[in-house]
Amino acid sequence: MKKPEDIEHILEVIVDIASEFLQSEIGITVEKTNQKAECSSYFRLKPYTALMSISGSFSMNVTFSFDTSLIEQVYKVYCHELEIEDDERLAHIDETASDMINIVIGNSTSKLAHDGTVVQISVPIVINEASSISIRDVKFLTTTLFTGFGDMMITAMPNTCDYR
Amino acid sequence: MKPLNIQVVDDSALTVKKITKMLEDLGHKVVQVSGTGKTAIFDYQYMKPDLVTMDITMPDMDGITATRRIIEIDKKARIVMITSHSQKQMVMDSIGAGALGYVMKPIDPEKLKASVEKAYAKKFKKK
Repeated sequence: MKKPEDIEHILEVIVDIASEFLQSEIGITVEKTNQKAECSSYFRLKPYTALMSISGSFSMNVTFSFDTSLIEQVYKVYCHELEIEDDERLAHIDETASDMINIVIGNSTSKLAHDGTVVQISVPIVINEASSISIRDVKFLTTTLFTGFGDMMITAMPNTCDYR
Repeated sequence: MKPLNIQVVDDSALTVKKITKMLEDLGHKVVQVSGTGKTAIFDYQYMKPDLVTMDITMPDMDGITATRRIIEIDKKARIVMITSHSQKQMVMDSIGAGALGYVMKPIDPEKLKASVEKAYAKKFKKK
């Protein structure tokens, strides 16, 4: 799993399941997507970002980076039945981003498994108030999902220079 | 079915709230919440719940290992995995560890209800 087309395939699987989650669970339609490979070792983040690591026959980090308006809408629908105190709101918006990446990446694992290898996924991490991520010698591959509530970027960052 | 005392094991506070709401809507009571695999084992021994819902990916100890350890302590423990992990091998590993059911996130309340009922209906062989 080191070839560029494999990384593109992984990202496509994740983007499809993220779009399905937004549509079926939240009622948000992804109007269009735009994939691009970033040759730089640096990419800009949106205000809310969640990160997970995938390992198995390949290893990579994946980030979901959201416009504030989009994650707030996801939170509003995802938590609509729950009683949430005012002082819990910000923490629960972070948890929403964390739950979404966990569900999407977890639901992707059957399609990401390669040659029967078990795909391990990490606990999600939420990154607040960071404007960019940079890793030397790694090529980022990003797909942006455009919706009526704002955009989100899904970025695959292969580890250990698998994909340069 | 009679109301059950349930232990929820998950590291996401939001997921715990969602699972708790669904279980309470079904008439059950969440008597213990555990955020890691290690605390789940300790809490199980202390609370002796009727049933446990167990996440897989958690800090310090994964849910499959925690399930195996709880079953070692109590062979009649009723554990249902609630996880986003869709890989077939994970389902098989969970069942191999002793889990009686497997519900995928995002959680469908009907599937959760069916899994809880099926796990509780399980009859264990007498020694």
